Amino acid sequence: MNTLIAVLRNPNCAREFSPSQWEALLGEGRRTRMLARLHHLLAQKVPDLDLPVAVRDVLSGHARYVAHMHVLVRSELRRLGKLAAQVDYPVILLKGAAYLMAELPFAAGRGLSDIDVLVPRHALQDFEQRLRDVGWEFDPNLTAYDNQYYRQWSHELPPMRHSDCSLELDVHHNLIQVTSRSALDVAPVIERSTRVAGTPFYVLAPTDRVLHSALHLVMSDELRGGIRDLYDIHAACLHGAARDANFWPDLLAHGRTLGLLRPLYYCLSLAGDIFGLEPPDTVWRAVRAARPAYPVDRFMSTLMRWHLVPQVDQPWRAASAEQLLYLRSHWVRMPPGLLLRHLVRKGGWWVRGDSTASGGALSAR
Amino acid sequence: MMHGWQLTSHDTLILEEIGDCVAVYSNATGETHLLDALPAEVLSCLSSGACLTHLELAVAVAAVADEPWENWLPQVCNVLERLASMQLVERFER
Amino acid sequence: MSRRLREQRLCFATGPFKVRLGSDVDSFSATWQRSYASLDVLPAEEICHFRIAVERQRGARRWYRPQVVFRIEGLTPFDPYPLDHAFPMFEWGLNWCIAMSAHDYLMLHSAVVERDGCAVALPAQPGSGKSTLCAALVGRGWRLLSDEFGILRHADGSFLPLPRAAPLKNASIPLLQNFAPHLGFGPRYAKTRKGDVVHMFPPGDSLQRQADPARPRFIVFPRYEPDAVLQLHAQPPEVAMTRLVNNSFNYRVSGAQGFRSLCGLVRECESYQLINGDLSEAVAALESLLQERGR
Repeated sequence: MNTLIAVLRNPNCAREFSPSQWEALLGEGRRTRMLARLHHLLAQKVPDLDLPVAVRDVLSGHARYVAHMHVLVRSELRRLGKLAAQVDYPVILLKGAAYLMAELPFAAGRGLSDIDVLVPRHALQDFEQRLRDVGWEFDPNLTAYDNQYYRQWSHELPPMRHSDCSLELDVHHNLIQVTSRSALDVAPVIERSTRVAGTPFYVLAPTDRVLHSALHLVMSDELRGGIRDLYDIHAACLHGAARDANFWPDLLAHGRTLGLLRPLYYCLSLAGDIFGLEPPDTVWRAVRAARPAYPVDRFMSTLMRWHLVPQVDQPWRAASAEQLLYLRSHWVRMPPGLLLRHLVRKGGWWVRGDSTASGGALSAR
Repeated sequence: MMHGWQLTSHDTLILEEIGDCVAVYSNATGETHLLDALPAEVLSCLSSGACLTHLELAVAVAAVADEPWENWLPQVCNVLERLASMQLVERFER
Repeated sequence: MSRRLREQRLCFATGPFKVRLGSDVDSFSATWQRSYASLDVLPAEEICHFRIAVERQRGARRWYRPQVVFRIEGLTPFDPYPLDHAFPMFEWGLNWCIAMSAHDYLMLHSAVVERDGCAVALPAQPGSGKSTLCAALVGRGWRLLSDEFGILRHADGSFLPLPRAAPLKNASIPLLQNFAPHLGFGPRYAKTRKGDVVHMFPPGDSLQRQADPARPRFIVFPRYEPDAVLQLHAQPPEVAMTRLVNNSFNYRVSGAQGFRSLCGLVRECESYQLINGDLSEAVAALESLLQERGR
């Protein structure tokens, strides 16, 4: 993972790359799904660098694919926009779709295959009905168990699909599973969201964007995107801080009121280690105060590092880290009895790792 | 106030003649359509960014086709509805 | 070469792509070397597009039902195959890598052959007899560009070769072995997902000319119907365009550039529908088409 991180930290270092380092970069970029991102990063930061032919081909091929996904998402958002313009509650775009709509610089080359939106809980039923009226529907193969699981315990509806659209739509009413032991009051987040000029959509405030990504990275079972998501957090912090002098103090304050200082701590600490992110001292000291007791802190930080920065020669590290983090992400989100039921239902998750480094072996859903 | 028609906002189209048809590519949706001569003529009238009523479009088409514009009106209306369902054009109040 | 394969240091070019290949499966290495004997091996420090390994599956199963996995950059996108099907797995897996990555080209799902500077694309759905017809033409001395990929370069609208082993299935196998016994054929793989498979190896001349693009001249949509009387119908360009849009691996991903290239292709080419029930007749029809209407 050394070449990828080196390039993300300082694209100029690619000027000195040996052939084997270039090949390592292609491998690491593919495993972390960051090839398209690398294409844009290198084109922006070292435009005069002549990439080796194979590197140029692979990066630009993947960048084209992502650009195509962006066309699909934009086109779908124009249709959803007609619906969002008719309602009197905010329809808030999350993650990739939000980065695109708000034209954030780090949207370039960021892959996405679904659209995530957040609406206030009281509006959920209305929004669901409006979507169904224009042809969005749930997977007809959704089992009664899955459906009930989503409705009762999840922070989102089951994924929706439309016959005219290859993308999946995830409608959330909270940023975190409602069963979570660290439940979240989403009202101030919705309150702070802002409308994207010239569109009917809202996006999260820059601080909440970082907190949401941090929460997602630490708690989610979709662990494979790891380093990519951490880089999003890093880029979102730099972008937020460059635009607003109050970004860092606000991030601290909002993290505190939402009870999200712990995930923020893990992410800022890792982004500091890996990408050299440096929050102002006062903010960092306050965030750091939220870290868990030393042994837990060390255990979690090591696991997350193993997971995010797997070493090719020690694939067992990444595999065991994934399994432990997966178990943990469910532990955090569900009461223990429910957790056991869910894992039994999902069946056999523990035998699937099979010692391949970040092979995406754990797809939870 | 009356309504006219324009290309779907934010969209730009590429038109290429292929045999007896015109192939149309929409940069906004990434979709390709194969159109007959009449819808293609309507699109090319609108492709400068103009916003035209169905009457104006019938007159424009008649000028190319050398027939009185009244004869074209029903077909032009029909074609506009079809193009709208393909998300290529939209109504515009002016 | 076997040692290079074992050490993941075997680099080779296939059309515009470079591959670094490693394998610890001896039967695979042997078949690979027979199929691609005429390829020049590249220096081990070459920067390649894809790093691929075809390796024995580790774990307890290896003792009673040995399996093989396909790795790209250490990832295993597919379920393992039985060990003795390593070669078809490699061919299929590399095609998958190209189809998922090479979006700088418009990729048609099509065989492409060339003679006298005229490339003929044979785009078709599985079961249409595309591979059989392609192999038969190659048996008659046409150059094989590809059995599977029509790789169209946007810059000049020419087809790039990607000469690879072409899988023949079931009844096509004896048909081709009788029709063109001088071609190289690989071992028989019984009961794959597509039935029995034997590969036609790419002729040495096609491999040596894999860097030479070819100008498209004809698009022929083949359809095999048992006992059908041969029919060769001209097809309007707009019909060819519609069929190619639906037949491409990445038309939509290619965006406006794909649209322009495809428009250019159907304008430059004559398009035909070829219905045939007899391989020799179909080959003769294409040879006289080339004679009468080639450049």
